[in-house]
Amino acid sequence: MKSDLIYLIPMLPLLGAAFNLILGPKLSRRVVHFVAVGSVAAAFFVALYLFVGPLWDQYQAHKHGKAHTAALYQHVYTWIEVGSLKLDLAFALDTLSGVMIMVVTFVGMLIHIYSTGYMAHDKRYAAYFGYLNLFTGAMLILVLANNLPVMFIGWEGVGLCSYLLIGFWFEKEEFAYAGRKAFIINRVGDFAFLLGMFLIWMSMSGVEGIGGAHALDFYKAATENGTWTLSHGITDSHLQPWLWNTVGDGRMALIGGILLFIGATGKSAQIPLYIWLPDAMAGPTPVSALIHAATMVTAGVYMVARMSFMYANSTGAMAVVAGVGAITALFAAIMAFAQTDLKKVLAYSTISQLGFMFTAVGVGAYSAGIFHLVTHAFFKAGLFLAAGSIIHAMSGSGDITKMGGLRAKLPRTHISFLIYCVAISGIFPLSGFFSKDEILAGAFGAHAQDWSWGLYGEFLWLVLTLAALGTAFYMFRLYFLVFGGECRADDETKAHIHESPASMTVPLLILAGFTCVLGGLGLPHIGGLPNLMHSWLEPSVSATASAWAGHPHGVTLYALMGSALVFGLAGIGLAYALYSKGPSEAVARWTSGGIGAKVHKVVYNKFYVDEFYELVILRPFRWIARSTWEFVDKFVIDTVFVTGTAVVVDVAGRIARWVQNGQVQRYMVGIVVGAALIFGFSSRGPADKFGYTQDMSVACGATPAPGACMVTLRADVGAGPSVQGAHVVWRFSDKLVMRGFEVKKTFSKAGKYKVVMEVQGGALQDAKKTRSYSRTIELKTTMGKAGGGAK
Amino acid sequence: MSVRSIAAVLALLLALVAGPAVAVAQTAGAPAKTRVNAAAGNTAGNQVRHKAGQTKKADKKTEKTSKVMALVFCLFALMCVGGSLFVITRRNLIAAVMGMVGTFFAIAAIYIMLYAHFLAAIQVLVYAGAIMVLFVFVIMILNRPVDEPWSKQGVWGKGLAIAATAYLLYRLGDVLWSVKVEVAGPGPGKYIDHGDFGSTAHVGQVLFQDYIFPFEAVSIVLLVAVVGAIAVARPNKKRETLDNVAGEGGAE
Amino acid sequence: MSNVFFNITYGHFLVLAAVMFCIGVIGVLLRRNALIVLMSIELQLNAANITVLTFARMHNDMHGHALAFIVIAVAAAEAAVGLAIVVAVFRSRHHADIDRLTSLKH
Repeated sequence: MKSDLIYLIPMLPLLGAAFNLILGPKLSRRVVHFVAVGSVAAAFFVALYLFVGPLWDQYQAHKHGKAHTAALYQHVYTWIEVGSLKLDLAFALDTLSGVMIMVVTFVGMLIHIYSTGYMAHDKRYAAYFGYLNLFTGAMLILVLANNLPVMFIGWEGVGLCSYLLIGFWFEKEEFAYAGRKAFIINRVGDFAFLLGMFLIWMSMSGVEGIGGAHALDFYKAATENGTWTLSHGITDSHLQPWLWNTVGDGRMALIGGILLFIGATGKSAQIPLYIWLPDAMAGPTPVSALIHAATMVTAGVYMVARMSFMYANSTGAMAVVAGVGAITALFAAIMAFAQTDLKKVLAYSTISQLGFMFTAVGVGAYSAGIFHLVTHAFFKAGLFLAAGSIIHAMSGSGDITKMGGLRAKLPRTHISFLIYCVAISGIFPLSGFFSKDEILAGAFGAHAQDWSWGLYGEFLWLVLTLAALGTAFYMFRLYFLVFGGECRADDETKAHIHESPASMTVPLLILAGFTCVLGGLGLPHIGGLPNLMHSWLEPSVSATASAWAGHPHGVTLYALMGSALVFGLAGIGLAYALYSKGPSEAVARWTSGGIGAKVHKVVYNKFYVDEFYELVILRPFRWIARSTWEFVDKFVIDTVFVTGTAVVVDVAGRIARWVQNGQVQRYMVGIVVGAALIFGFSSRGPADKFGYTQDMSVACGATPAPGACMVTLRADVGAGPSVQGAHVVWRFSDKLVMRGFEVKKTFSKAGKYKVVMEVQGGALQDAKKTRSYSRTIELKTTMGKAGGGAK
Repeated sequence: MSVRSIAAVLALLLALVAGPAVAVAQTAGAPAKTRVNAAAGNTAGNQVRHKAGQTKKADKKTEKTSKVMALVFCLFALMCVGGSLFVITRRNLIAAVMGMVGTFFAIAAIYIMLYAHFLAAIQVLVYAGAIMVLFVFVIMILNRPVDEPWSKQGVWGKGLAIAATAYLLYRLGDVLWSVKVEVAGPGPGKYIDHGDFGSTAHVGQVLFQDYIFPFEAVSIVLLVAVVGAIAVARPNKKRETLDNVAGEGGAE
Repeated sequence: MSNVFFNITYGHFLVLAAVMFCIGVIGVLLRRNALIVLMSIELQLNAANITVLTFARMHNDMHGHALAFIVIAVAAAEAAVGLAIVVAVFRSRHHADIDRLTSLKH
């Protein structure tokens, strides 16, 4: 079956990674990069084949109603089977993942080729390519997964590789810290992701028809008549009423959706977990291009699109996604205004553009979001690769205040960079215009099914438009400061400026070419122009949610398109006015004093978000860690238990040693003390002051009978001289009085009787005082062999 | 006159007086009154006084002891206890020995009150007469008649010892004071009543009829003790070598 | 209370013996001179003798006398050997202080 090839797509890069990591350091660079690039290229060709062959056929079949879903499915093996949980390692290639694998493998391939030039002089060449391949494999697992846990494998895998690659030059401490920061923040997001996954499992595992083993699957595979058929699992649209009714008004969808989205904010650098991305620029530039522009950071967007059927049940969650995306877009754009490092500007630009994508999937415009994901992958990767080229030319420095006038010296880099900047600013006819415009259109008319969004859609549109204005402004500020005006570098650097080798510039040109033409994939809805992306993605996303996005047409559409264009051009114009000849004196004047200086300071310091986190989260955490160490580790464990045990043993030894000092008298003391203890623990005398025995041979019954129940009472008051001259008097409850040390009495029937014994006299006692002891004696019925008496 | 000599003289006097006093008391003292306990049942055992020379089993009547006997007992008991305390508190060894001798005489008197006449005599002969003399000889050999002062170390151990002993005394005394006395009768063993209780003949009978083996064993014990004492206390002399002997022989 | 002193019973003898025994115990435990210790041991043996003879009298049994006789003989033997040991020890160490005889320690 052709779908059996699906597993090759992630497998080949992983094999390449294994080869490079294990054997790479011993082999020559040629072999290393041949294997690395080759494995990704092979994955690309397999993906291409599957895309234009079997997947296309499946899509057509679904469109004409002949197939259940537009997806290819491959079951590799059963991963976990515990109780009611059955997770398969299975891949599902549907139209959405098809788009993603094309992007990942193609852009990845180009970046691998670029890296052969960029990292040519690095001593850990093989490790680099190993990590890069590992990343590609993990990303492909993420995208191809058929259930959430397998997606999580890929999710974690890309996080790990991000850490390894950001901190690739870990000899420099701040680079290592950047890697650690990225990983830890990712982890925080992953925790929320896990909680969301558990919540979904808990609430769905009992639902009939979908629950149990397949609660977490995207596509449910079943064999009918010996052939595989797929129906949507967690994505089953029939399920919507179920969720509505069984889990309390879609609350599961709301909470699960928000939790999963928090995971996405960690991975895709949205508020509040975006702070790792600017620091991640410490890694090599190709890494930034691949991971932090094109692929890893888009995993969050992909996940929201994949879970569209769940989000469709909660307009609240979607509103959260859209809102956070929009705010992040604007926020990051503002932060990019004041940055002076080339890559940092691009990092904030990435955060901002991801905000656009999240807003798109948040209002239900899935095809807009994914389309922008694709176009952004191309021009952002290109921007980063161009930045790498520039930095390479500037002998490793990325400070744009020291650049300028590179237009003449780096022609190929320059032309690709210009194309990318125009695209990202949303200018017709480059791809950025179409994708960004679609997002804005989708946001403007957004309306949810049974919740009046009010002016929420318009609000989102406004925020995004301002962000777009900002995008154009800061991108062209960057362009002019780098390529325009006069060169501000020092002479030594100036002498080294040269165009990069072909291995670096060819990918740039390829990406630029694609940036120009990709716009055709998502043409706006004017006069019957086909929106290929929309129709391609339709089988893979929730129709309900898609219907919420706005679909303006006619005048509204033209107005929106026009306004987007105008804003883009305005941003470019503003940048041109201020920066075309180098750093702007007007801006410098404004920021030198008064309110301008304060604003500049705040923006330049990224709104002090990092410092805020340090204060509110990191410091208490470090305090807790240190206190725990001080108290639990040093005091309780070390001092109390370890040293304390030693001290106790020492003291016990000292005490025990006292007993044996060689002196015989000490041992005899032991004997005497032992004797005293024996006396001490033995009983000291009669407990009762008198004892009695009942004559059991005489029948003693419950009913009064003459002559029953004979008892002998004995005074136990000592003997010998102490009772010399004593008399004993017995008093009974029937006023009978007897005298003597031992008396016999007959009771009429069994039961409890109070007996008082009085002793008078005796040696050592005062003859006038009477000592009396009373006790209740209990006589039992004896049904002897003589029978008698009732039972 | 030192404490020692006073103690020695007193002990001697009392020893001379003790025997006749007790004997007189025993023969002359008649029970003052008899009190009979009412009703049946066990009665506390009382001391029964025999007339000297009479062969009687203890009768069931209870008697109050005579005041003279009581005085005599108290006197000799005090001498016992006083002498014991004297022994354990004296620093001077000879003083301690003298105290011990006095104690032994008092114990002999107590034995007489218990109708163990033969043993009283043996007590004086063996203990006071032989063992204490042995002690004196050893003190003279060691030639250190004065003991070292009380040591300050090990006070906790000594305190613990005193406490334990006091408790032991309390419990022992409690138990022994309330010993039940059963009706006096013939003892469990067989003996032929050849004389008074406690007389020499009586003791001889028991010893040479029922306890002949222990008697012979004790004689071996004494032999072993004699040999052992000589072996242990013999001074170590260097063996003379042949050279020395020859040398001395030649030098003469 | 006066009965205790005027009415002498077997208990009196037994308690006397107990008192003497405990005095002997204290002497053994508290004195440092070996000879005093041996004398205290003799004291204990005598106390035991008194007890045996009291019970013999109580039960009108002559076997107690035989036991007491043997006890006296054995006490004599033991005193002889003990004193011989004290003499031997004194000869090598020149003191009879048992607090200083601590070879049993190890």
